[in-house]
Formats: sequence, C-alpha cells, structure tokens
Amino acid sequence: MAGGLPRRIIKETQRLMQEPVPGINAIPDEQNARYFHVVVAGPEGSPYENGVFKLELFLPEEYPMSAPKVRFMTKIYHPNIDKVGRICLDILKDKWSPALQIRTVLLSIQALLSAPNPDDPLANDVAEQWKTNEAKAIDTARQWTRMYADSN
Amino acid sequence: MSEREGSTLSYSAHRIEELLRCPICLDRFNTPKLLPCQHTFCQSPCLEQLVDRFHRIKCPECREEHRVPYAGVSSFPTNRTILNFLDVPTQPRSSQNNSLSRNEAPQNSTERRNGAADETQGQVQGQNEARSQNAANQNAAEPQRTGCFSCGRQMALSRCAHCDNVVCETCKRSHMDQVRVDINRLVSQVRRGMPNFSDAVSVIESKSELLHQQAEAGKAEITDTIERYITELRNRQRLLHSEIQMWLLGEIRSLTMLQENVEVELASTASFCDSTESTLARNQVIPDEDLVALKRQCVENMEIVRAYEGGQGVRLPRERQVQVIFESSRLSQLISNFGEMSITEAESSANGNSANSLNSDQPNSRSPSSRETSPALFRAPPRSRPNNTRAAGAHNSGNPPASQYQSSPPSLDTALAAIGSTQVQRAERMAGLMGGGATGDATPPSNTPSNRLNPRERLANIISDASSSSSQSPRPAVNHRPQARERTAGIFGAGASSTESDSSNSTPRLARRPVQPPESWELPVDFTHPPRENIRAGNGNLGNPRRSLAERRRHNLTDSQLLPNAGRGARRASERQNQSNERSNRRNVNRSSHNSEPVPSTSSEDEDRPPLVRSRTYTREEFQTIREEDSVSRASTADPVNRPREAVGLDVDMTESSDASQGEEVTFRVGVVDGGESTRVNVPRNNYQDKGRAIIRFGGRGSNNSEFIWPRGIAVSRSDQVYVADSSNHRVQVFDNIGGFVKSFGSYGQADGEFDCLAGIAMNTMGDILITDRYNHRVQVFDHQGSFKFVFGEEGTRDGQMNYPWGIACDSMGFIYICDKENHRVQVFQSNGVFARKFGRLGRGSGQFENPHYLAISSDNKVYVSDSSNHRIQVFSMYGDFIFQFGSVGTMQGQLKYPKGIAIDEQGFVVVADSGNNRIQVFRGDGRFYCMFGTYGSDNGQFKGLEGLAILANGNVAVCDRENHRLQIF
Repeated sequence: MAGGLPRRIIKETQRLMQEPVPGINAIPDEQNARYFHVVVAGPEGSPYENGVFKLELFLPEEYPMSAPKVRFMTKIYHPNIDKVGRICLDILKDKWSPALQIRTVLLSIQALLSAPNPDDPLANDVAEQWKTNEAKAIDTARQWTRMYADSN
Repeated sequence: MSEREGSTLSYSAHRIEELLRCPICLDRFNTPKLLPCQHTFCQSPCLEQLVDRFHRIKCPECREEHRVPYAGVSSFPTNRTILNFLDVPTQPRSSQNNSLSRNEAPQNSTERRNGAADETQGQVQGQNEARSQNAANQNAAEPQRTGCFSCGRQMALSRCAHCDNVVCETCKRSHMDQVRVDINRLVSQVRRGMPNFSDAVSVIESKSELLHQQAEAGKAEITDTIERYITELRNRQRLLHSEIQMWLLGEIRSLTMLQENVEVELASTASFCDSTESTLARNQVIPDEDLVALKRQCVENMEIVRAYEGGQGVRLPRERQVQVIFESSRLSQLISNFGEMSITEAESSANGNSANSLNSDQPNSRSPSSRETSPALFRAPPRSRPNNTRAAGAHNSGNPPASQYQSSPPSLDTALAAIGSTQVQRAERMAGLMGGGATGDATPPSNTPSNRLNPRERLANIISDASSSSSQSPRPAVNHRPQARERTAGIFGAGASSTESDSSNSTPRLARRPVQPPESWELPVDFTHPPRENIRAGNGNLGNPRRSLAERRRHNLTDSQLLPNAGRGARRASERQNQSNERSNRRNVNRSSHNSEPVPSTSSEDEDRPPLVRSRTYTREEFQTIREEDSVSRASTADPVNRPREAVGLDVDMTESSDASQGEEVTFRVGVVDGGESTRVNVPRNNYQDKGRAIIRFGGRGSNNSEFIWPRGIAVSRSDQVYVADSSNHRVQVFDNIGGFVKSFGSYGQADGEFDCLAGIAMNTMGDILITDRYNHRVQVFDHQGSFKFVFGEEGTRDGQMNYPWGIACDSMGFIYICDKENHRVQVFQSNGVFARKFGRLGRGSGQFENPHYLAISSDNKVYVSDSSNHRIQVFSMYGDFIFQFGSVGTMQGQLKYPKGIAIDEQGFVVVADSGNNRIQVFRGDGRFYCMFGTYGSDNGQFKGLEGLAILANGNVAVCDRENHRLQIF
C-alpha cells in the first residue's frame, strides 16, 4: 500500500501469528497485508457454539487512527449483525481508539456473539424476534449455525 | 528484533518492556508525552495524528478529551519516568542498536541522566569499532570480543566478584554500587529485626523472675510447714517437760511430806530425850509409875530409832523412775521423707508437700495456714478421695467429734503423738488426753447418739457445708444399705475402711428414719427425698414381687457396679441434688420433655417425684429399660400422705401445660382427661417395665411360611392368634401366641381376596378380619376362617374413598376406623362398609394429621391415632372430637419420631411403636410416659423399622420389625 507497511501493522501481524487469541484465527492475505482472513469459533454457551464463522478484516490507510473494517462472511442469525454481515459494534465506529488492536476487536466480536444485544437500535427484524421470543430466536440461531457455520 | 528481545529477557523484564511501548505504534516510546489523564504516548507520529482540527485530543486509552495548546502536543509534559526506564540497558548489545538509536537523537538536549547516555554513545561507537575490528582481528582476546556482559561494550573487562560475569569497569562499578546499596538495605533490615533479641531477653528475664518467685514461694511454704512442725515439736517438748515437772512435783511433795514426818519424829524424839534427861538429871523424886512410863517410852523410841537405822526404814514410796521413751525411729524416718517436691509441667507451683500419704493433714491444702484447728484435735485421714477430705476439712470444723479418728493410716501427727509417751501410769492417761485422742477418743458410740438424735440437722449441716463440694450428698447416702456405707463415709470424710463399723451403726439409724414419716413430710423440700427414698429402700414389705425384684436389681447394681462409679456418681449426685431441689420446689415436672439428663447409668440415684428420669443400666446385657419414677406406684403402703400429693401434682400439671394448643411443644393438653384406668392403676397388669428382651423372635426375609417381606400391620384375634400383614408378600400369615405358624392366605392381585401391599389388619368383635389393601386403596373383610366376605373403598379423596389406607381398627360397636394416610384423615365406616363419617385433614394443628399411619381404640372408645409425620399421638372421641394429644418430635423419653403402630391394653396403657427412635414407648392413657425399651439393630430387643404392634391376651406385645423382616414378642 502506501509506502511500506507501518510498523504497527507488522508488529500486530507478528504477534497474531505468535500468540493467537484462543478461538480466533487471523491470517493476513498473501497479496494484501492489510487484509485478514479471520475465522472465529462460536463461543461456548452461546447458540453459536460449535460453529465456525468466517470474517474479513481490513486495515484502512489511517489505521490505527481509524478503525479496521470487519465483516462477517458467514451467514449468522444475530441481532447485531445484518444479513450481509455488517457488524454493529461501537468500537468499530465511534468508540474506536488507536489503543485498540486487531486482537481486541476480534475478541469483542467474539464477546458480542456470546452476548447479543437486541436493544441496539440497529433496525433488525432479528432483534425484534430476539426480544419477543428469545427462545425461538436462540433456536433459530442454532439452526443457522448448524446450517451455515458447520465445522465441515 | 522483537523475537530476539523476547527470548533473551526474563519474564519481568519482558513485562516491563511491554509497558514501555506506545499503545499506538506498538514501539518503544519515542518522546513519551504525558497527557493530563496520565496516559503516555509518543509525541510523533502518534499523538500528533490524534489532534483534531479543534485542537482537541481524545486519549486513546480512556477517551478523555483534552485541549491541546497551540504549540502542539510537544507542550505536553514529557514522561521522564518512562525515559529513565527506557535507558535501562536490558538487552544484549546487538539488538539494542536499532532501538537505542532512535532514542538518542531527540534526547541529547535533555540534561544529564546518568552515565548510561555516555555509555550508549560510546556503545554505538564501540559497536562500530567492534564490527570493524571483528573483521580485522578475529584473534582478539575472547572476553573483549564478547564484550561486557551487561552493557556489551568492548572495554577493559574483568570478572565480577559478585556474579562472576565478564563485565567492564563501569558496569562493575555500578554493579558494586548496587551491591553496596543492597547491603545497606539488608543491614537496616537486620537492624529492624533486632528488637527480637531484646524481646527474647526480656522474656527470659521475666521467666527467671517468675522462677525466683516460685522458688521463694516454695521455700516459704517449706519454712512454714517445717516451722509448724517445729512448733509442734516444741509444744510436745513443753508438754513432756511439764509432765515431768508435774511428776517431779508430785514426787517431791510426797517426799517432802515424808521428810517432814521424819523430822517431826526426830524432833519429838530429841525433845523426848532432852526432857527425859533433864528430868532424870534433876534428881527429883519421880514417882515410880512415871519412871516406868518413861522407860517404856524410851524403849519405844529406841525401836523407832532402830527402825530408822541405816537410813532405811523410811517407807519411801516405791522407786519410780521416769524414762522418756522416744519412738524416734519412725519419726526420723518420716522426717527424712518429709516433704516431696514434685515438679510438674503446669505453670502453678507444684512444690510443696504433695499427696504424700504420710502427710495426713494436708492432702489438698497448699497453704497450711488454712487449717485452723490444731492438729492435736483432729486428724483427717487422707485415704479417702480428695473431695472428701476437702469436705471433711470443711465440716470437720463444725463437727469435731467426727468419727474418723481411728484407723487413720500412720500419720505424722500420730507419730508425733506417739513420741515421748511416758510410761507413768498417771502420765499415760494424761498423755492420752493431751495427745489428742490418737487412740480414738471420740469414738462411734458418741457419734451414733448424735446420729440418732438429729440426723436431719446433721444432714442440713452437711448439705450446707458440702453443697459446693462435689462429693457429698445425703441422698445417695440414704439410698440403700451397701451404698450408704460408702456414702456416710463420704459424708464424714473418713477413709473408706474406717467407717465400716461406724456406718453399720449409723445406717440402721438412717434406715429406720422412715418410721417417722409424718414429720418428715413437713420438712423443707430438700429433705423430702431422703426419707422417701428410704421408704423405698428400707421397707422390704412391698408386697409386690416385682418391686422386690427391682430392689434386688438395684442392689445388684450397687454392689457390682457402684464402687468404681462412686466418684462419678457422687459428683452427679450432688449436682442432681441441687437440680432436684429446684425441681422439687416446683413441685412436679410432668413435662416429659424436661427430663433432660437421663442420668446415664451410674448409681441409681433417684430423682424427684413425678416422672423424672431414672435410667439405669441393668446388668442384663443389651438393653436399657427406662422407668418412670412414679411415686404413686412406688409408695407401696398406699401412704395416705402420698395420695393427695399426687392429686395435687396432677392438678398443677394441668394448669401448667395448658398452653400451646397448636400442638407445638406441649406434652399433653388436659381438658377433662381421663386416661382410663391406666391413670389410676398403680401396677399395670402387663409388666411393661420388664420388657426389653423378646421372648420370642421369629421370621426372616423370604416368602415361605414364617418368613416375611416387610411385615407391617398386626392384630390379635379373640383366640389369641396373631395375624400379620406380610405386606410385600401380599398375604396374611397367622401364628399362635408363641409364634408357631398356623396358616396364611392371600396373594397378589386386585381381585377379591388378593392384596397389593396390604398394610393394616384388625379384628372386629365378631371375629371378622379387616384388612387395608393399601395399593388397591380398599378394605377387605374376611371371616374368622379367612374366607372373603366383602370389600369396600376405592382410590380417591371423597367420602368413602381412600388414598393408601394404612392402619385400621374397630370399636366395640363394629364401626371401622381407617387411617386414610394420603388423605391425612381418619374415616369411619359402619360394619358393613358404608361410610359413616370422617375427621381430620392435612396440617399440624389439633385434629389435623400428616400421614396418620396406625390407630387404636381404647376400651372406653377413644381413638388414638399415630399422627406419624407430626410425631405425636392424637386422641379423639369416637365421633372425631379432638380430646388431647401427646408426644412431640425428639428422642427423649416421651418424645416420638414417626410413631407408627399403636395398641391399647385393657387397662388403658398405650403402647406406641416409636419407629424413628427404634423403640417402643408405653404411655398411660392420659399420655404420661410410663416406660420404654428398644434400640436400633437386629439383635434381641432391637428394631429396624417398627411397624404395627398388638397386645396378646397374656399381655405380651407382638411387634412387627419391618426391616428385620421378623416378629418379636415381648
């Protein structure tokens, strides 16, 4: 990209390779060092357990001054994730800080999976369903996990 | 480079390294700037990039907004701490180059920090030199090539003495400075720890002080004691001296008299001679008669003189010599052994004259001065237990002529007394008198008169004196003869051996006391017991063979078991004495829940009158029969005094227990209680108190004849046959009254004559057999031969329906009463099975049940229901009106746990299978506890899972021992 990769990205990448976060696997793309293929395992105790979810993470130019862009590639039934995989997470938007890193972002996403927040104003019929009939919603999430995020 | 950093650093250094990184660029801080929120970041590019166009900056860590001065982020203060940390050389030289080079340039302008800056400067140069040199001369000395261990420079290297590394001079110097600093620190630590020494010193000093004091005290004690004995010896000496003196005086007196006589004689003789001579010399005419008389007188005097010839003739009193005899051998032996120092581990000074049996008068007294009575007057034999002697001391001051004089073991005082006994007759007696009765002056004969005179006063004295001492109690003393022997010994503090003769005198006195009953009843409360005990103990004419058996048993207990327990029993006796004093003050304790300390086993002290606990372990092995202390049954002679008392007692009982109508804790509530004859009967016909060992036991788990699987209900027919509901064999077995199998009938099923876990069984007046077919929720009726007659009942909760019916009973009119267990009620049917009435519902109150299991009907048509989960027996009229209840949850006597089987004999005694406590309790018809027996287990007289019970015609009680799958007949 622009004149050599910032050291920070290099360091982060190295650290991610050396000490991966448990349940999260982030691998930079071979051709684009700013693009990461991320695989997140569904957290235990959530309807997404035993599921593997693919994400993509992109570090923009101003990183770390601006937030990385993350998107779910796997279809998931979650009140804070829309049908194309965009994530509603504050630290990816206004609450971003340069002190945050890739690993922290991915951990937050994993935490979001275990703790869905249907009160988020992201207008999402999934959130509606989650609020009205949570059990059914959880069941649907499980179903989708089985359908789309199967380990195989 | 980061990898290498990680591998060469220790863990803490690693962590510190991490803290020295800017969170934004993830590198070592480059001009660390401190934000007002205390977070540090690199000045450029990190912070500079964060300033927005309004000269505001939001802290990346805490998101706090700060105003940025016009000059920019450089005007934020530099975080010097970080700088210092950054300067610490932590890495091998090779990897430090790149990271340090960044630091150097912007920091040159800052003031001098330490030599490290120079070092780094020099190091870079050194590195360059080294690199250039390395290629040149590879054969340079190794230490120089490898460089200083800590800073990596290629300087003059040498080995560090402390950590044996190759370091350069400056590093070594700084290292040694560090070491010096460490030493200083350690020294101050050691100094701070020094007060430990002074503490130890002071402790030791105080200890030695203490020891000094102890030694002093011991010495003082020794001096005191010895002084005392010296005083005694001196007294003795004075005594003996005065004895001798007196004797001397006496002798002298007699001799003086003699001497006077002789002098008189002499004088008279001399005067006679003179007069005679003068008369003769005067040459006067002397009449002849006078001459003859004179001559005669001369002759007489001559004889007299001659009699005194040789100095003898004086009738000196017989030669008496005084000899002082000292039995000194024993004394000196005693003296040499006198005083023993025992050094115990205890803190208190254990010096002094320990329990040396030779030291009779101080077995327990540490301060000899506490003995106020002179040793000459009293001897306390040490043989008896310390308590006794203490008590003896206590009341010996009051009763000097106590009977402990004789048979004391050789005591120092008797030795003293024996010293110097003079052999003079008179002196002997004097010695005896003054030596203080070592030979037993105040003997029993003088005692027993006093015994006889006022035993009560003496007891009063003793009680008041010995109330605090743990051994004395008159009550055990007066209990029974063999024991009394011991006890009176205890009372008077005499050695056991000493009072044999004594108490044998005194005991008849004591035992005879009950002869005077009327007055004894008016005594203050304390003393009502002993006489009453004696009534029991003394009178043999009880008229009831059973009671004499009890007496005998008690005596057996006494003889064999009492002596070793005497100590404990004595203590407990006095405790109980106090307790029973209180209790008797209250007049009666009818709440059976009161009787807490079931006075375990030891001696058979008896408590207060109305039912208090008296438990005794009989010499019969396995069981404990606990009996009621029932004065009504006790007083054999139907003492008229007793009767009104008993009635009084009952009245008070009623008022006392009138509370708690909700059945919380009350033993029984009395409205108009008439417990049937059992309240008036003194002696039940059925010898409940002797039960405890089964006469007959039979059964075992199985399905053959005489085998059971979970026997439950049981009933006795008019022909004294025993019908057992063999529940899990779904049949009824019939036995004769000694356990011989007769027949059985029934099988599993729902048809007529078939059962499913039958539970209860009862007989009606016509001989029909009524059976509760539990899991079929119905009642079947058979005739006395066992052929099916009819059935009624079905599962449900309505009238006439039942839910797991259990116990069943039949009243005299043929009404059938059923414990409808799961409906928590009792239903009453006519004899043909038509529903009549019901009463009860689930609950804990009066008239409410929880899992009523069995029921029984007394001969006066009262219905006694085992309210099992409420742990009580409720009594109703046949119409279902609640009358009273008794029992509460617990394990004491009179308390129940899951009462099950219940049966009532013709006198009204209620026998209850207390299944949770694995025992059988017998109550009177009004609920007062009578007796109980049984424990958990599988042996004779033991139960596991009590169920139904029934009373045979001869009074035997047949019990279903469910988990042992057997029947026991008591």
